[in-house]
Amino acid sequence: MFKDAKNLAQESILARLSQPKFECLTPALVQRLLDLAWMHQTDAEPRQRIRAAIKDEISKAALLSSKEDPSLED
Amino acid sequence: MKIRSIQLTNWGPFEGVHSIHLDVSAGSPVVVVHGENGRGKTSTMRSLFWCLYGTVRDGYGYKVPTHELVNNQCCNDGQSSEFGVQLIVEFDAKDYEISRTGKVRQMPDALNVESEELSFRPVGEHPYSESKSIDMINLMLEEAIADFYLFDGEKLASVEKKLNKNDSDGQQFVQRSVERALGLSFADRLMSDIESVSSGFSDAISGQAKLLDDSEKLVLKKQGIEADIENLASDKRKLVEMRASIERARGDIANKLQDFDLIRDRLVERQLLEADVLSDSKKLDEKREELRHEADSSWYWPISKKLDAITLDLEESYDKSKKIDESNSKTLAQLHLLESNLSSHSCSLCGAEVDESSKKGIESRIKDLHRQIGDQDFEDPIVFADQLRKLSGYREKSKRFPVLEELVKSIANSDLELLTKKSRILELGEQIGSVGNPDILMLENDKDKLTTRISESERLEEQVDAKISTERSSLKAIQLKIQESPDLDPVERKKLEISDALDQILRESYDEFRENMRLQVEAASSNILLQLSSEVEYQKVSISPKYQVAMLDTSHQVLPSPSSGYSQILALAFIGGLADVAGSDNFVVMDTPWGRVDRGNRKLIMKWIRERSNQTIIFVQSGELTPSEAREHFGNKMGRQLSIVRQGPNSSKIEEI
Repeated sequence: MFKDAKNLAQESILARLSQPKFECLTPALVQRLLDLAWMHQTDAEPRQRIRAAIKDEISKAALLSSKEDPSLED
Repeated sequence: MKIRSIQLTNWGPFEGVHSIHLDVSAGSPVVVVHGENGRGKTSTMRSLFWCLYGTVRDGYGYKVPTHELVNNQCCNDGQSSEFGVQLIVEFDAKDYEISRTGKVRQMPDALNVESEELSFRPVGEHPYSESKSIDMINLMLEEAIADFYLFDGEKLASVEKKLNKNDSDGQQFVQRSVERALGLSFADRLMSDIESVSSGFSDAISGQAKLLDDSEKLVLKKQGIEADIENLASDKRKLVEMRASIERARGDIANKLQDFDLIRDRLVERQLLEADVLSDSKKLDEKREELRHEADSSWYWPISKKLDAITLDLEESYDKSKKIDESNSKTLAQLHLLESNLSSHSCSLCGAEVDESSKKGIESRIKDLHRQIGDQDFEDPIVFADQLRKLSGYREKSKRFPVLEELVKSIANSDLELLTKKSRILELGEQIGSVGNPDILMLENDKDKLTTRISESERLEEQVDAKISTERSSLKAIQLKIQESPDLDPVERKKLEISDALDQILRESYDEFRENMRLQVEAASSNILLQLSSEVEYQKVSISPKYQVAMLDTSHQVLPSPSSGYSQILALAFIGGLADVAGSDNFVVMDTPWGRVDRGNRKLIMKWIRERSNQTIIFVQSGELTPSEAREHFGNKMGRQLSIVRQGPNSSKIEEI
């Protein structure tokens, strides 16, 4: 259902990722979040659980990013 | 999703339990259900809606009460009976049983629905909870887009009207349909989720910052702004809800006005005729008065009347005298014969001799005949004919009396016209039927008022949005100051940075996402139009940025007014386009979708159906498509043919052909 919605949203978002202000975002993170939101759209998953999963994805991305960022190594 | 079977219990014209097997193979996905009007085609289609969502709406969006859907013969006075619909569907290679049942009781005036219950289960397994059942049904076929897959001629006509109108109602309908098809709500919900997660990260950072003396004031300020934003967001939600309810009310009025469009011309005609009749009756009275006056003041008029009366008397006398004259002629001929027999002593007819006794008889008969002629009060008809000729001359002259003659003619004509108008008023009254005399002006007034209120609400929403945006900028500035604090956990800071960036990128992508949806539906509808159209100039469906739908020709110019058949094809292409972009693997059910489409385009519609790979169920009347024509058109794509036939008064059954 709504078979193209996720692809359309993804196209619009990915086209903007190269802007410096979105430097902290990766295509993989965007993809995972859209997948999660998609589940929320089409599945009987409770909303709080989806939000917790989104939070978890962002936390993991932040942790990874801070490890890779040499300025934060101290 | 594929429908394997439908079981109807006391539903529509189907009394008792009736099963409809619709299972088809992938190579032969077409099902044709034949049935005359009133046999139960629409009831069968509505059973799908009711089973899945518990409600049925007519083509104009009005809810059909459940008791009107139930078989009205199913129970006697005061008794109750069960009714319901059970579907077996295949979804993601698994079979599910969806069953919605209820109880009705026959009350003196109507059926009363006493209970309804939904049951959903994978075949052979335990039923799901009600909320999970509803979620599963929406996962299979979202209610918001179900009418792209289940539609009838009425729905098609309603879409066609909205597309033709191209006013703000029509554009809103197109925009909503497009956004329903592609799930704009998906992006809305994602933005809301990211915002909520981001707010959680922000609170966590504020919690840390609070521990630092110099950040405490900033945190307090931030919390104040957050509270303001929350209040503004709550105001916005209320405004949006209010606007939605006003839009619904306006939609209802628009629908009513749409219905009234059908009778509006008749009402206007009737109103004009009623005014005409009033004014004509007055003029006729004046003419009659004038005639009376002329008649009273004219010597010729009463004389003319007298002449008419004399003529009538003379005509009667002439007729009478003519009859006597004819009878006398016969009597005289008889007398002549008898006298000749007497003088010749023999019968002139048979030659027999007249003896003494016969002679006496003949003499007696001659006397009788003389008496018969003598007794009559007879005047020669020639006298009457002469008098009548003279009178005719007088009357001819009296007819030339110009004023009276004109008045009489004019009154007779006016009388006839008045009678014709009165009869047309009666005829219009019957056509308008039970709708009565709706105050269209009042409805249009109400609609205009609601449109103004919607504009006001939109203006207020924009103001609230602007305030929220300002507050968000302030919040952002404070957040950045808090984030700059060197003692904060860098990972927490990163989380907020990422969630903020996600929030921003989603907001910036939203309009493009929406625009892409429009283009997708436009392309899908154009693709279907090309398959449905037999005219080379109908090349493309255009959905403008303002959501106006039109057909374009080969040079991409808008075709100003397509024929009514092509308006219907445009509506079908639009619905088909919505269905195609919303989900390609669903069944489609079409109830008598041909309408005003000509035979050439009907064939193309059938070709389009034949080329679809999903289960397609079409309900047709015999005048539209016979079983042999269906077999010929669909060939090996034909999966099943069924017929809904009359079983008795108000009762039908379904048979496999």
